[in-house]
Amino acid sequence: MEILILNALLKKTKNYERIQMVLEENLQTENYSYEWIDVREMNVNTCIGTKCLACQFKTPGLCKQKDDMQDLYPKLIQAKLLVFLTPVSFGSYHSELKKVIDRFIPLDIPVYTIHQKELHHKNRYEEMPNLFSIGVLEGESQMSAKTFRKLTERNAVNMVIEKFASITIEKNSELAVLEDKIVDKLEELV
Amino acid sequence: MYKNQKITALIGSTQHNSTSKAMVDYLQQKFSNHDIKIDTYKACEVYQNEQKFTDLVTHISQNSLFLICAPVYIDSLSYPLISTLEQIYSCKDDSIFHDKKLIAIIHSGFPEKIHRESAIEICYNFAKTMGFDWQGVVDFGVSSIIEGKPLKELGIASRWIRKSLDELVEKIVNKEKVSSGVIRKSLNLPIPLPIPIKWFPPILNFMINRKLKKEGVEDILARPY
Repeated sequence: MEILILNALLKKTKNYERIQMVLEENLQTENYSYEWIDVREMNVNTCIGTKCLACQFKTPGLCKQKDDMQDLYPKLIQAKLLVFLTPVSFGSYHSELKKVIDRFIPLDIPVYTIHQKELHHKNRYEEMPNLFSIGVLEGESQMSAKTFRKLTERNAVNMVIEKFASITIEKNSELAVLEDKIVDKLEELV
Repeated sequence: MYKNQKITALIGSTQHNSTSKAMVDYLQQKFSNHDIKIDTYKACEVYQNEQKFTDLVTHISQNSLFLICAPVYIDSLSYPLISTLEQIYSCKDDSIFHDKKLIAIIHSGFPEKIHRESAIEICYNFAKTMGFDWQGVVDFGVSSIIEGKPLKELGIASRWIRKSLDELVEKIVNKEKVSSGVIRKSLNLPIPLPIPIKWFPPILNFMINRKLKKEGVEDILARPY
């Protein structure tokens, strides 16, 4: 599997089927292997953060919570491209996707380093997948769209991701607009 | 003067006894001198509890000031807090949320402001989406030194945080905005230690290595997948 798609869009979202079609058709045309995961159907517990940190100080790299994340971790490490497909919530990823992202802490080690002149934790794994976030705007402002793109950029810096891209689309966008935006970025990242 | 009024505070941590709670507890003590009370809610309790969520919405609608106090969680806000904000938005009703003000306190372990900017913008966007009047933000780095302890207990180590929170209280009591921009102006001292950022890794890694030794961790670099 080369591409892992983490989808937080509801199936009833306008354009959901079109977005899925554009993504899947392009990936199939290029013969990429991919897996589509609906995060809303996953059983994922909430990360409890600094009160736990077992994944850093007890069992390095392993989260002690037993849920669907245990199947997701190896897929995350092995993927070449990670796609976040999500409604935009005030510039953030939707909470259903954020629940999964909050559990990415085992992918770090607690050792600090300077990266791009900023203080960061080091990555546990040498190569992280490239990152492509697709945010669907539903009555959100352009400021939210800007924050969404910035958030992906910050994730990429923090996770030392080599290539990343982020786009926002209106839920009522024309099919051609959707396709252009998505295909351009896929070509850059895969 | 903002007196004899109440504030609704929403704590964004995933834990019950958190650094964010310690900050709100400190504010509560300071506000009591001005006859201002805080109704405090924790996102980690509210987001999956219908009754507590209903209480939260009721208090937001009754109190004129809404305060979000939250840590940065992977460049953003925590899942329970985002979920709670989404649920509040789903109740958006101009008749009950009329004339509300929002202030945010955002903190992170990393000293640099850039680590907190996305989280601050998300709070700002929430305020704008809800039609709340954005009153500004106070943000802190190196907040991990608090570890959920009462701020006063930490003495000089938390003096710079208390000083900023004291200033925040004064601003609220005097009905002044904390900052007029989205995020650019804030009250905090960005780094408590006046040292170059490149000195942080050796200092912090020395402390981490001591902790790892104490925990008996042998292979910190393990790659289980």
